[in-house]
Amino acid sequence: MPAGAIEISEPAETDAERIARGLRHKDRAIVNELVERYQYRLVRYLIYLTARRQQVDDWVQETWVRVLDRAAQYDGRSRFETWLFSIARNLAIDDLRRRRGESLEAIAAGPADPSSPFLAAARSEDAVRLAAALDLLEPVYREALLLRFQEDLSLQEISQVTGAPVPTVSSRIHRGLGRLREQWEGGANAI
Amino acid sequence: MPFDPHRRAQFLIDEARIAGISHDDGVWMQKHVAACAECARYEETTRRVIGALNSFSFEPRQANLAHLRTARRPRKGWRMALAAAAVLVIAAVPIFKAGRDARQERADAVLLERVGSHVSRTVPLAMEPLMHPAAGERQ
Repeated sequence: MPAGAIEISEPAETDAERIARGLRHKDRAIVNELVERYQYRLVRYLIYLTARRQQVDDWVQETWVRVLDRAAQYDGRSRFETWLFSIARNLAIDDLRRRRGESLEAIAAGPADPSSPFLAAARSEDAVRLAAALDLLEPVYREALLLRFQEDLSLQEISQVTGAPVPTVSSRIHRGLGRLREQWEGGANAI
Repeated sequence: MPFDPHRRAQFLIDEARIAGISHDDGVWMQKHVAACAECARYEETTRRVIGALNSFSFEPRQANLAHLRTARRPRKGWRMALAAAAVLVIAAVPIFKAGRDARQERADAVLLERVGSHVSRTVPLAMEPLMHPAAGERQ
């Protein structure tokens, strides 16, 4: 490089761009890394969305197959999890609709599994207390709460996953939180 | 509608966690909560509810990853089977053709043999002169 020349370095590649490049090239190491990183979160998301544990393993597996099939569609401009969750969401809803004629809205309050997947997964007294409230909560509220408070997605990112406008997403989180709080306090009064 | 400071404080408690609030709103909310037992309880309940959301453990089943690794095998196996069948067909065509030709030749030979056995090789009397050309013709 000549003296006095200014070195212009390439901007550092973001994690999302690295993932997009790896997926485009069908990089086995990236795929394994993604499965390790997102497997648990994918399982948790689908349970929150559907309140079912039985079908989740099949949906998770099929989601990864679709990720590989559509690898070229992920451009790395958004976080990988928003793309992953939107694929999983569409897949689970389509499957429920096909098998039972159910829509997400029709998966009414009340668990589809005889045993609550939330109660089975509760690891603290507070979680046990909250499990019943989650069982009763509508899926869209559960989903919004999970994506905001556990996945730490922004309202815009949640909007991308769910396809709902940002004000609707905000409203769902407010309402969902309000319902959980009511149940929580109702539970406390019952005790 | 009259201004309700509790309602506003409770909205801000939630909104601070959902989308974030301005510095001024945050200062006002904290001041109100510090002085209001009802809103302080509301804030504490909200904190515990959100904390409890993180107290679930949905462990993926161990077989899940193994399933995933074999998820594409049926498709791959199906493709392999199709490719093997195609190779088999391509390889079988010349063999089939050779066999068919050999059978055809054998059938032709048998037919000629049969025809030959029924044809008389004796020359009719009327055609005898033709078998012995005239002396002049030989020259």
